[in-house]
Amino acid sequence: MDDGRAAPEMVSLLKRNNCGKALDIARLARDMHGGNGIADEYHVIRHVMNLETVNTYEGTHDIHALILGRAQTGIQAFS
Amino acid sequence: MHRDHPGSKPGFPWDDPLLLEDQLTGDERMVRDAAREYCQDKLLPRIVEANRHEHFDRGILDEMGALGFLGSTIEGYGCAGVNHVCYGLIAREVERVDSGYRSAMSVQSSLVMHPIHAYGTEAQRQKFLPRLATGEWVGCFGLTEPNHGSDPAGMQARAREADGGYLLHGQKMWITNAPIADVFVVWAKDDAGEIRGFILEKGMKGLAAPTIEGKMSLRASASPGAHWVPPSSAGTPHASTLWIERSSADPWRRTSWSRKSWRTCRPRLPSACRRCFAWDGSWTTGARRRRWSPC
Repeated sequence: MDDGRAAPEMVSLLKRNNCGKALDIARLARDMHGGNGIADEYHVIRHVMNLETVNTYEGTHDIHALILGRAQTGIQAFS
Repeated sequence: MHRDHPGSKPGFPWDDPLLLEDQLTGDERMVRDAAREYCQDKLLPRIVEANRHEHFDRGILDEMGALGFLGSTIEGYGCAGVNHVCYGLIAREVERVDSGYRSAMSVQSSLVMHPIHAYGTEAQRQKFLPRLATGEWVGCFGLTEPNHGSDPAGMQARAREADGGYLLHGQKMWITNAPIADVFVVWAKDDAGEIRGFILEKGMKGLAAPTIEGKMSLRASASPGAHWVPPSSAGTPHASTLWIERSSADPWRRTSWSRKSWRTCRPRLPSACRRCFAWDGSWTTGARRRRWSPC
């Protein structure tokens, strides 16, 4: 990135994967904590709730998939 | 894989399984450690109460400014001028405490300071960047709108040339930092339909940024949920123009979710599911709201 070689699709790939995985992991962590998982003092549920927003405002899983699909196939599924 | 001692088995560090720590330079580790110390000592003790009561402590941006976290990749103008790895490491440490705090920092850095630095005039840089870098001023970024989400193709905000400046009309929503912002980087379409960026300042006529309460997510963020410029009110003359025109490599291409595909998939879903409130509300929103333009 410092060398100016980062393509927008790389950002899509990372944002899509990071946000999706983070949300999955946070939900799993909530489950592993049992009842404590929903108490704010354990911080887990707060991350779960936050990541629901992050997954949207970082571009959404689906929109990044369309961008990556276009880059891989040359076919644009959106206008 | 080569081993110096064939009989020995290297340990497996569960918290850094691929030894990414080794990829960092000494400077990068130093930045990361400073960020972690601040976040764990100063942010973590505040977060539970802040989240519980939907409160953002404005002083956090001053603290981040003092540590060089704001606009950290920018050279000059009072900014730290570190590389993007450092920025990522700082963001990770802040995010480790709460996404809301990280949002406050990254909106200020990447969505306000970066565009002013990259696309603004030298006068705009001199005016805004040093104060945004210290946290004396707070910035926000207005793209998302109530009727079109983050799809700029549907953008309803308009900028009309008037009286030597521009008159802006429109509404924005979910704007992190907006209720406490001094500087607003917002987007609107001009008379030619081109999307342009504008720098608005707190106190301009007609500019309002009320808080929307009741968020169940990012509650410690500076209550994103602001509208600006109610459509019935006067606009904002003399707003500074930031961008002139879109390039052909427009990163915000429109995307399509055709209504046809929604209609096609609906009957396949179990009717019991369709009756539940969450699904019903989602279907109504998805099918009726024109968020993404059809092909």
